[in-house]
Amino acid sequence: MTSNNKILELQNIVKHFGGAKALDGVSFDLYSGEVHTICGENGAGKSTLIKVLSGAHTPDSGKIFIDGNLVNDLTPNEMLKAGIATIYQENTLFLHLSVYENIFVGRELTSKYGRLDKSAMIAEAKNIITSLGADIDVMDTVSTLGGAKMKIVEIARAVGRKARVLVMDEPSSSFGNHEVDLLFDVMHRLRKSGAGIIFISHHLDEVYAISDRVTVIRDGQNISSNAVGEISNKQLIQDMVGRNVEQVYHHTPCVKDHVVLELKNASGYGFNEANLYLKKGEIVGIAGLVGAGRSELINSIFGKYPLASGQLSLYGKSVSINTPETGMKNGLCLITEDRKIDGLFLGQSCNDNIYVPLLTKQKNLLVKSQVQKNLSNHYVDQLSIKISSIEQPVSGLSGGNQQKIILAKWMATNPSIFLFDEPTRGIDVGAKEDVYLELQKLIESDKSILIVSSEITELMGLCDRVYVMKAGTIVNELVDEEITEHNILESAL
Amino acid sequence: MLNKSNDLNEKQPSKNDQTGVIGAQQFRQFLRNRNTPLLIGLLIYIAIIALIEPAFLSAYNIRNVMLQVSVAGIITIGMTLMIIAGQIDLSVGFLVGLTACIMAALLKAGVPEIIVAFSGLFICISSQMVTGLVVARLKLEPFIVTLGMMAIYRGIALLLTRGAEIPLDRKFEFLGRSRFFEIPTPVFIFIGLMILFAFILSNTVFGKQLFAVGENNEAAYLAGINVSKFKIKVYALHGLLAGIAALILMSRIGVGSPNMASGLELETIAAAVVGGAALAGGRGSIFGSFLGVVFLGIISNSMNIIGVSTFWQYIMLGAVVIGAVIIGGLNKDK
Repeated sequence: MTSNNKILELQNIVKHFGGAKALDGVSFDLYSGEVHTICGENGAGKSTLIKVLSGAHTPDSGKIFIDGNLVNDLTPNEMLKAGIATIYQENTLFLHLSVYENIFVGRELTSKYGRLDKSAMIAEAKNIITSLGADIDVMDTVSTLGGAKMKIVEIARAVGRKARVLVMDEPSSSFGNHEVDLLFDVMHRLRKSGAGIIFISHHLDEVYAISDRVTVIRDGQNISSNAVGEISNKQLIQDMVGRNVEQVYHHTPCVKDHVVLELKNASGYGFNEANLYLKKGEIVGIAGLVGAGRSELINSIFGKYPLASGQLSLYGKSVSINTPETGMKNGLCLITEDRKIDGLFLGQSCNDNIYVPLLTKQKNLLVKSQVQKNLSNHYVDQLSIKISSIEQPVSGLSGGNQQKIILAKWMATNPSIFLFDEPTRGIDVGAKEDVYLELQKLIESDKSILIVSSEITELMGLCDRVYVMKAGTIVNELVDEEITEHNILESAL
Repeated sequence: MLNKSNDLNEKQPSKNDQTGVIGAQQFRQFLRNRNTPLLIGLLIYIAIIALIEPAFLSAYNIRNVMLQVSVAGIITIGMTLMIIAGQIDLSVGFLVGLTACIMAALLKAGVPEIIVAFSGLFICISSQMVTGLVVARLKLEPFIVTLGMMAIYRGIALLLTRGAEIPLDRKFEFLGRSRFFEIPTPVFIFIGLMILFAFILSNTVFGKQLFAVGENNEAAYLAGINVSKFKIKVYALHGLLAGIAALILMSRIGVGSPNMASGLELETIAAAVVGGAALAGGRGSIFGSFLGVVFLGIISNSMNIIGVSTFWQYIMLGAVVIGAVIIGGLNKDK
């Protein structure tokens, strides 16, 4: 589908932040009708590159050509006019407005005397949505849509602005498999219509499914650029991390014969009649589509939502856990799905973030700053968290380091059961491997782990057993060799 | 575990090396500190006023300024706690007024001073706890709830006094009018509480939890903090401080009157914000609030001294508040 029509070219883009070189001469081009993926670890310079493209950052040197013409004025306004639209990871929609209002926000159509021409906008919005092949009612309030449909509304807004280059920064990071297909359909149609798409994703299977070309950047430099058929998965990962990664997953079973957690006929917010158990030293996965009740289930085990009926037992004893506080007292911890929303205290230092769960555990009213610092340094070291000082605010860290801070704060409370909701969402390959290594160390020290994940390969690589959920019910249990992509999808869909 | 981490520290000479250049490091930290621009601004302002009118720096006047800001200062401590926790309180001015009226009425009826003082504290603490309970358990906006409470306190106070002042007839003079070593007692109380709460905020579980709850309510809850109970605790402390302020104010002025502290809620919010507290929660400091309340106090005092009309003082106050927020914002971007 790729044409010979080069719509965008970046030459030798350099960008410094203070002393740090974020981009060190990156070049990149995009043809009309092409999906060109940029891969790289967090901190490789992808975000900076996107911000240069959207005009948010002005490069220190380098040239940008659109349709062969040099762009002199690299401002957000100029980039939008040139037809470059950026769709960020976090959605930028107005949740309480309707789909069509979102599509026309900032460029509302008016009739005489400046009155809003609603019917024209609705009709035009319908056209755009239909041209994208999506099934969305333009009168719906955006907050009622799922994640994929929200992304499509953002794409529709860009299309409405006559964007020819769409930059999509991890659009699918919060989707289930089914939702990804919706998005990919739309991307295919865009490609056919002659638009160019710059795609960024940590999911390599997605990269292979949708891209025409893949460019890897590392430390702000081009590493490789290949047609997608010409580069192996292994090579791609190696290019990204800059070393030979034989295997990302590390799992040596350590299962003991002792059941530490058991749910019997448990129903609650978002799930019903769930039966599951977890043994000492075991990693159990919970697979399923987004909305199948997986998050709700482990959130309820931790005490965020109370169980409506059924029984939760820990070490053979029935317990009642109605608040996270009691969950913690019973030796549980929960690493939540979205670290920025309910995991981190973004404005605060790494040091303070790590200490928060200990506050409710300690009896002493005073916090000794030296004790706190030693503890933080210990975990920063153990998890090889890359920071210049523990006093650095967590907001500036990469996703992987942020996730490790969250892991550190829970490890500090010494729980025996870890509940993970999407443990590696939005973090790069290197950091993922670090997290997996930590999981292995945890089970080796007799901890037990329950993981909710939308990445099937992750469940395959890590878990001793996998439960599959569908519409609030556990529909299947898979052990060892049964844990395959095919089996999981068959039960989940 | 902690012994082990000490070992780890020793294995990392690089981290310790950085602190080797102590002078430069600390100076840089000082420049980056959020309170530094405020401190510099305040010193420059003091210098300018002192050049125009040297009497501004007389012992008499300094004592006077500190006495004037002590009541607002004590309430600012409570307001700072509230703002860091992501709360706000518009009712505190009229709560102080109402409490003073009730205490004055009790004194007039012949109730012993010590009982009056404790009932004043009790009224403030319990009223604030009720507000806190409503806000935390029903998950309502503190802005609206305390706006409502403000009107209720005002109404009760007016009903009770029929709008008139209740004189104390020279009772209850100790707190507001006594001095030690030529320094008024309220100033001691104000400074003492500031030091106490500065310590609490940076060295106790309560202080750490305060910032956590204000920064991210949900994450704090999931980290095992009983958020609604905690918020009620913050309201109670804020009430205690308001009660102490009510005692001092009533004692100093010698009457109880419904409007005696009206406007104090906005003044203390402004002082906390000038001192770097963020209304979104999670940010603020006692030292910053101290600078803020002193700065605002110095502005009105200095303008009186150099003979600028009160009307101009309002404009100056407003400019300082907005200017401080702008400078704070610039600093944050770095």
